[in-house]
Amino acid sequence: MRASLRALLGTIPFCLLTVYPLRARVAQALEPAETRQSDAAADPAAGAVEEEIYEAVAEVEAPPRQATERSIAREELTRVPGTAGDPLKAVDILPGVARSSDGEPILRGAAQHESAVFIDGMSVPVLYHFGGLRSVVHPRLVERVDLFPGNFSPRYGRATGGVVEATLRDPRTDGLHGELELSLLDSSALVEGPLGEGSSFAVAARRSNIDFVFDNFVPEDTFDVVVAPLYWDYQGLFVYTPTEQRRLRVALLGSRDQTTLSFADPSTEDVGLRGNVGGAVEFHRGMIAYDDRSGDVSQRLQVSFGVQSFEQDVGPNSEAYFDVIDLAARGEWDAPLGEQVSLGFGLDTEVSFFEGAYRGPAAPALEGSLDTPNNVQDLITVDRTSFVVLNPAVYVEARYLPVPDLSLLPSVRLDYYQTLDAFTLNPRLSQRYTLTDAVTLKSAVGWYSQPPEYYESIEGVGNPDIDPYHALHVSAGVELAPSEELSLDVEGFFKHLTHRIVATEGSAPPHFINDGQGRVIGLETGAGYHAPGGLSAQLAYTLSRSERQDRERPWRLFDSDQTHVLSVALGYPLGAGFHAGARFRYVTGNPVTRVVGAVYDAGTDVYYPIYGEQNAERDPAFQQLDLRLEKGFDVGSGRLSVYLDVQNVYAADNAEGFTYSYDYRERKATTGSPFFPNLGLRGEL
Amino acid sequence: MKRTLGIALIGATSLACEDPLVDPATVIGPRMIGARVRAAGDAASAEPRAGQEGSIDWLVIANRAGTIGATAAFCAAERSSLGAPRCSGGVFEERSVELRFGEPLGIDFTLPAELEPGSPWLGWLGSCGGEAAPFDAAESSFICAGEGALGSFYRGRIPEDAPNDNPVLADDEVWLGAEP
Repeated sequence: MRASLRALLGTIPFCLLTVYPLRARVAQALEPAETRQSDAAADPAAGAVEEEIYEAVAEVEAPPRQATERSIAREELTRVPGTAGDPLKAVDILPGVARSSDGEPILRGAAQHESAVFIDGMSVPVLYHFGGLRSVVHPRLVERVDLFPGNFSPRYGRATGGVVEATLRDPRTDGLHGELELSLLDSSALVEGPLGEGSSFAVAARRSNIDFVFDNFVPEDTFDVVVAPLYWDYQGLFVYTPTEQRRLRVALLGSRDQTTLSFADPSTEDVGLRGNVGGAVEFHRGMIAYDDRSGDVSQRLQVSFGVQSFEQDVGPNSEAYFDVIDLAARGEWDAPLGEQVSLGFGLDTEVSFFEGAYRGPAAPALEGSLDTPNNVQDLITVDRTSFVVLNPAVYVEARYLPVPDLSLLPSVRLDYYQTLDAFTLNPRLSQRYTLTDAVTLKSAVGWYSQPPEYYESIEGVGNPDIDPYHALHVSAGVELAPSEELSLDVEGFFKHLTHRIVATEGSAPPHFINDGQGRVIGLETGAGYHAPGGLSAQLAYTLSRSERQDRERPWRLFDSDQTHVLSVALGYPLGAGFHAGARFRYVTGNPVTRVVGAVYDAGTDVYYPIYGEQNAERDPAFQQLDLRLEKGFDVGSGRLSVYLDVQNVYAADNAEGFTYSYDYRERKATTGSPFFPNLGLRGEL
Repeated sequence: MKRTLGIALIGATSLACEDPLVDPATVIGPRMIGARVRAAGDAASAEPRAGQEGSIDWLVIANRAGTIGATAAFCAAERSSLGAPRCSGGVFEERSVELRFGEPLGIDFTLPAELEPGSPWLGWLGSCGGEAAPFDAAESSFICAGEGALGSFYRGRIPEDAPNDNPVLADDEVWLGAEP
């Protein structure tokens, strides 16, 4: 029975809580669900004794699979100001998350490609539309977002940074419901309801409105560069629950982003960009998952499949396209081995079939590369080619309770990378010790491995002899819960990265080698205050330093090293259907590398920058205040909501690097997100 | 894969926020605008072979008449795919020259005989404050402090097959400033 609670978020009869040895938090207030006359009471001889029988269902958080798990509750997910109601963009109100200009999370000083993001257990090729504007799932379908900034469970692999997992909620079963939403950014629709005994469905779709706004409200000569962005996405969910212990879940996701830039005066641009610059990314994913918690051994089986296509044209000299078919399968089995030990076993396999072609310059390293014009005289050409990337893995994790208040989580994960013909073995250990009801100590140590990006090992573009790279994660901290409303979390962490994949000097063949190191040290502090029906507040502060060494060069700052990351988010129901929220962020500016000169390429009529010490300077500190006000109206059986989400309220000119003149003699700061009020209307039935 | 695809669009979107600072069509000071290489004895050929003599014409313009001193240097190049190229060793020719704005300056050179077919070589021209600037082959740049630095390179390659020819412009019409 204990094993049946191993689901990430299980729904179980309340009475079973008593046999579960770990602390469990009741997330739902218990109400008398039913009052009825007992058989005894119905017997006149026994007297008219009325017995209240309470039945209730409690949502219980599954026991932690890692030392640190941070989550955002559903009711907060869509109300974080400045996110336009996007749940996945709300993750940066949590400790350990640095500010990202494109939405992809930067966790504990790790580069974005070193962390993994899952939606309902599926890895998706694109998480955000149009450089971080919106995530690719409908916000009202997300149940919760979990953040594992480091020392995560062996359930997750092929990542040396952290993990973000968004879980989609079950569709409603209390009748047919619909929702329409219209804002300056996009329009969306959602329909959900029951399909029969034990089954329900939800479908949602969304399309951007930005192209419409540009076409109709922005004068043609406003910009030197004309942008025509377009995105859409869709989701479908079907859940069949024949019994409380068995559940079948089918999910479909799809998304497309298309961008075309046309320059007003192509002759003023880099020769590599002259003409149109554009691209499209499209993917479709399907997933079938089956959970069975009916026996002593619980199991979860999940198969996902999908296609993705990628096209890119950058001027006359660079073009690429790839079509990919992805398959992934995961099986997990958990069983109790006595009162103190439970054991979990898992299989996790990914296989991708690539077909495509590439012509263009050498690909830069994903971190640590300095912007430079394309060398159009030395282009790489990969003719139409196809290849398979197969990455199977197995993992075992145990939960050992030597004393009731101490939970030890030893685990190991074994990965095989068929393309590289390489194995990695990742042992990990986490512990949580409940010192008092209000104090929990935690610590963890683990080894993490990640394969190269697919192109980094392709002959011609990358190095077929490249190996996976690794990171050691160490963390220790304390969680405090001095009251029902208040929680505190303080955690220190250290990471050492080894065999990092870096570009060769001048990106000369073989283009990439395992000759980089990294080190990250930091301290995370989080505080949450949630008064029932009242004020909610979330404070996060992270102090860290993240450094890298490429080949034999001196150590430098990580491209997104941010010494101080402070975030304060507040939410408050004002009454009469009003809800107000505010978020303020203060973040140390990203490192920048000064251009100290330039040299002219007489063959291509392009200037190349000459850089000073890499990442030796910083952008000014980032600061931004976002506000959100929402008003809900009950209209018959439905509800209408109007919201105003204002990003960057006082229009702070947050510098995001520099734009240079054609010969690099002049520069000006590029500013980040502007003041942007997003007005929206949402109707629910 | 996810990050790779994402970056492509992010890179594209960031361009939308850029405004040109200085109009490249406006000449505000001394500026190198091109170079042409010819093989000795075959003026049509743009690719001298290893051991062959050649000539490179540099064209420097300015918003005034006059001359500047410069250093011309030649070296074999490392193979590279990104960024400015680098010398693979020391220079095989270096000399000081004087350039007159608006007039091509031809500089003769001889490529080392040991260069392999397909291997790259570099011709450099640099000036510092109007004077010849020392060239540092190890750094592949001219040593020049302060304002007034001009640096340029031409990336050549030892032909593997038939060499590329220079374009014939005799029949072309060129308009500067505006169409007639």
